Amino acid sequence: MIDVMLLVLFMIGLGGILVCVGVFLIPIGGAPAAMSTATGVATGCEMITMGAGVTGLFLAAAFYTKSLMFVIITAGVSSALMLAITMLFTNLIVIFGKGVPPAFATKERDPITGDPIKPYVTPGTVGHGVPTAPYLGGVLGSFLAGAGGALAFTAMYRFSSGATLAEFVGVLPQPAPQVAAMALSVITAVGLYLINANIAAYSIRGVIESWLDPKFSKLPRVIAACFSASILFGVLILLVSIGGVG
Amino acid sequence: MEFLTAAIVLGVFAFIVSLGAIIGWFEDLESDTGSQSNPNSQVQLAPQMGVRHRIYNKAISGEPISNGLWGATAGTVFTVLWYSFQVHPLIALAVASSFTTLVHISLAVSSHLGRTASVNIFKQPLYLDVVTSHLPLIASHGFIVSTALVALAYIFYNVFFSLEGLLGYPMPIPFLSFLLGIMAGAVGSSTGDIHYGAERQFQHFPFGEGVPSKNFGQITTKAEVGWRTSIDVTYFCAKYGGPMAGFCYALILLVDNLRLLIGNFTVILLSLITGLIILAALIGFNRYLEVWARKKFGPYA
Repeated sequence: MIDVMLLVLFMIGLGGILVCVGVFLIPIGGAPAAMSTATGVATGCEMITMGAGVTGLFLAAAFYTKSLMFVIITAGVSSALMLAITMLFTNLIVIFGKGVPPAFATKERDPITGDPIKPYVTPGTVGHGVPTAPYLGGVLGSFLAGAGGALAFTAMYRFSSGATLAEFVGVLPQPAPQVAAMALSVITAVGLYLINANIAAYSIRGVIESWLDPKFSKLPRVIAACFSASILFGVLILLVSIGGVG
Repeated sequence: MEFLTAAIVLGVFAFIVSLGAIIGWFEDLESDTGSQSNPNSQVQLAPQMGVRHRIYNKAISGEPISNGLWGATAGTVFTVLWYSFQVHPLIALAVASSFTTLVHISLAVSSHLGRTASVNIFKQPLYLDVVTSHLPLIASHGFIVSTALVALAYIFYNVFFSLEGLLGYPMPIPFLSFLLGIMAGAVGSSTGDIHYGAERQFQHFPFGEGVPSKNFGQITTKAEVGWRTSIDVTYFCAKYGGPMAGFCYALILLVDNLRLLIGNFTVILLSLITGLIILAALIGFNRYLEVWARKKFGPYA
């Protein structure tokens, strides 16, 4: 029992780290982006991380019997697809609804495509829309965030439904899903998103331009904070779930 | 597999996507009517910049959280009525959504009154006719969102157990509607709201420019005729921002359920490969759009 609990705790901590790195990679523009004053997705850090992350939970729940690695990667791709579609529609609205091209003012040229990008920024703003470099960062970030949430979700589900240590990483031989364990796992995953996205949001002060931003260098210290908070959260949620295991 | 089962699966799949479009569309228009989410910062700032307005100013919370609340409330009431009291799902759905609308309206009123009271020091009056004329619009849009959220959650839950996992997800209905609400809020907040925040809210500034920080708070207060209210905003955003948020949400559900179907009907690994191919196509299309827009609009002189 103790070895399984320690494994679950480690997985929740690892999930927290993945969510934290994901938040740093997603281009978040916050309220200024909704006025086309800043580059990125036009909503808050916790909001878009949670929105993208929970998309992955759906497939993680549907493929609950498959091997752990497959579930995590599939859920991560789901989250990446959600954010890729959202950022594409952000650009569609910025381009056709406001008449401005995607651009940012941090660098002269887009580091991935090499296109000159600064001349396309409206004077008085720091950018608008989601250009290619932050777009790719966002896809990777949402993949990591989705994978982190799915890791915590699957670990908690397998623990609550009484899986053995061998069944944790492999295929789960379960004929029908346990809906109550699903509920607890959803709470775990959503809690993990909120906690880690909030800690990351404080350190990026609400706005970040993916890996191009100077604030990205703060990542190692924030990872340590997120890991500690996730472990504490994991201990609490494990204590809650013990009642349902027996 | 029988032809009938395949036909039912495809029909349900189409219904899921169309419900998704309705959720995204109406969720965004509801937030535009109440100036919720990010554009709310400008409505709140306007009186401090000396701009008095007749815009409805409510920000119950971030959009994903408030829509998650509508989903969870309606889903819980629905589950209690349907599962415990054996009420017919359609009646349970109507009762649950009506109850949620009452919660929604009480929060919308208190949030508007509180926010207007906080800017009263900058001489922003509280217009009672704005409250009474906007509430039916907020309530009707909110009702449609919560009905569609719970209907979608019910379909996902029921289909999973009746079609042996071919489609749908094995989560409790309140949790499904909560997660679907969070997704809807995240999509509406980051796509449709830009049309309101960047374009409609600053319509007296030139089209084709981002809003510089110095113009913050200088929102458009005059409508085509008379003073602008949030009903004019909804009328405008229903032409582009709202439908685009709906399409976005529907596309997300389409891709996610398509991968689930492909995984269940063929080899499971194929769902992952399909996802990666669609991801590559999206990245390519975004790049094309970016290059097209820069070429079309040109740099700022």
